[in-house]
Amino acid sequence: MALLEVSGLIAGYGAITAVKGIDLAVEEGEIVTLIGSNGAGKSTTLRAVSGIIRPRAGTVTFGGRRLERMAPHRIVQLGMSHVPEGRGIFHRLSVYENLLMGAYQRKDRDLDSDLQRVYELFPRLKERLGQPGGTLSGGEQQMLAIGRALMARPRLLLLDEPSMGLSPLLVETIFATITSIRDQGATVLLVEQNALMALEIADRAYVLESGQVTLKGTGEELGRDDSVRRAYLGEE
Amino acid sequence: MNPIRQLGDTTVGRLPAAARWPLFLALVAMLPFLLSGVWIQMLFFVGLFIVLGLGLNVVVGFAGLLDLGYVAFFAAGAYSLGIMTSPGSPFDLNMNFWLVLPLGVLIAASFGVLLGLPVLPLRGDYLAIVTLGFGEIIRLFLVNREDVTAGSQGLSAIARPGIGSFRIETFTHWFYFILVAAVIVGFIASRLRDSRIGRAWEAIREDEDVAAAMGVNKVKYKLMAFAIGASVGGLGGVLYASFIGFINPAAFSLQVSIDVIAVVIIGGMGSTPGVILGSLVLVGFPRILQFKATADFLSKFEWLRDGLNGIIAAADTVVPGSIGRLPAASEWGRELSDDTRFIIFGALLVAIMVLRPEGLVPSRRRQLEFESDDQPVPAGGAA
Repeated sequence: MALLEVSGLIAGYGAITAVKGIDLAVEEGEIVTLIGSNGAGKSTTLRAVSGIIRPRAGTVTFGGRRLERMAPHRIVQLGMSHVPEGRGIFHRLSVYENLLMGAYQRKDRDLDSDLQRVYELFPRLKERLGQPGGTLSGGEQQMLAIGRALMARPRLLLLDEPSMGLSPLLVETIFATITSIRDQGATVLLVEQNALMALEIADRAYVLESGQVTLKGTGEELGRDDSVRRAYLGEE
Repeated sequence: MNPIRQLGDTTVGRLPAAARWPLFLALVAMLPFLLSGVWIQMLFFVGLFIVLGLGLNVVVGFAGLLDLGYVAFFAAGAYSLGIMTSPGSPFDLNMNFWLVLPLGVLIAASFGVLLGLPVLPLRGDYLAIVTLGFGEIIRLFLVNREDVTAGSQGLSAIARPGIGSFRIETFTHWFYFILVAAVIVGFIASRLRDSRIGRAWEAIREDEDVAAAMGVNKVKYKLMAFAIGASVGGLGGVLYASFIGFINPAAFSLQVSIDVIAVVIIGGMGSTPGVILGSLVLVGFPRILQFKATADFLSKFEWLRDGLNGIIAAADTVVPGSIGRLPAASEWGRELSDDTRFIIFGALLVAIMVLRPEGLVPSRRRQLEFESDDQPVPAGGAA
């Protein structure tokens, strides 16, 4: 059984149904990416999986547990961390306090090794520990958001548009980090508009259009698929 | 921005404050030796609104839940004491002050949870409107349920605290009593702010969804903020009712909620020194204007009034009788502190929102927020 299994997921906001019956699975140790244009329902899918919004229908199973009716703070306890779109840095809390927030649900208070790991992945954060989160640059905020999520020691990391608003060089860095996070044992579900980069590091990928999965396959396959290249990689 | 910030940071830069606060409190504690009756009475009310402001600050400043019905908890505390100790109470319990004090706080806290539960899913403006209604519901309850609250005739001869044979009676006694209460509430509030709980509130204030995604139990921490804020409101109500000795529903109007929130906002949301300054300006100053000493002082300006009235009289010749004349100079203070006060309050609030949106004495965190919003501090090279 896959670590995360989503089936028949329907979700949305008010009168809008953004996700119209999605099936997907993420195996332990994979990087899986959801690509698609604006409004395809990628972020909504992530938000429904992590419990920030309640699915209207369908099932979400994580490590054998059903999540559809579970409060988000309980889902975190099961080992799922969500790095939201726009990073969600707490501007008035220091970098250090932001990292502590990531470990909020943990019962043990032994955070040193986790902090060390985050500092190794993102040395820049260590230099800025006392600085308020709001004063970081966009790239540093993205590093903080990912580092903060890792503080929860997640089995599954949900990343929503980590490349948004970053310079190409920084995007490379972030994606390299995502790969090394996976190599260290976490599973990653990645939502991206930067399809090229996402497909490069992903084991498998799903293409979303208007709230439905229209294509799926390995990252390599989809990277070679003509319709994908036309639609999302900007090729004629 | 202070460059010397270190790990954890919440206590950094506040070490000098460890010496500042005791010094400030020692000075305040000497005031009764320097000032006379009405001044001490005025300071009691300043202290009362500091207590209330600190309590509301937990809800509004820390957790970001805009509560416009804070008077409800103030009333819950005051009426707890009134109903349980006044000889005129419909229940005729005649209980002891010290027994009712924790009860009143507890009852107010449960009112906080009572309000908190239905408004949990509400944010921003919607929350504000519902809390506003809640305050009004409580006032109407006080007026209409005469079998519980004695209605508009009110409750009198409310119990005063004593320790052994010593009674807390004079303005000076009450001054020290409210001072101790304010110190305890201020201490607890600041410890809460810098704790795990405080960080959860801060996270909820900034972004509820992200807070939940961090594992913060929104329901628990929001209710906690409401309950703590409400219990402080209840404490203020108990102290007020005992000090004043008589309460009726008129004392628990929307105006109290507005005064407390104005104290919090003008001083600087989330900031303890801000609450103190806000209370001095909004509660202390209007009372000073009403003092006889102020009237005596202003009576020296009769010449100014004559002069101004002369100018007005000249202007008035255009349409005779259309412009009134200034009252006697000695009355100016009282005039200003009466209805005119609301115009000045309003103008002050607008001015502060425009000129100093973070408040007179901003909290460290809020100051950072405004700085980082207006002029992002370059963080060196990235992105």
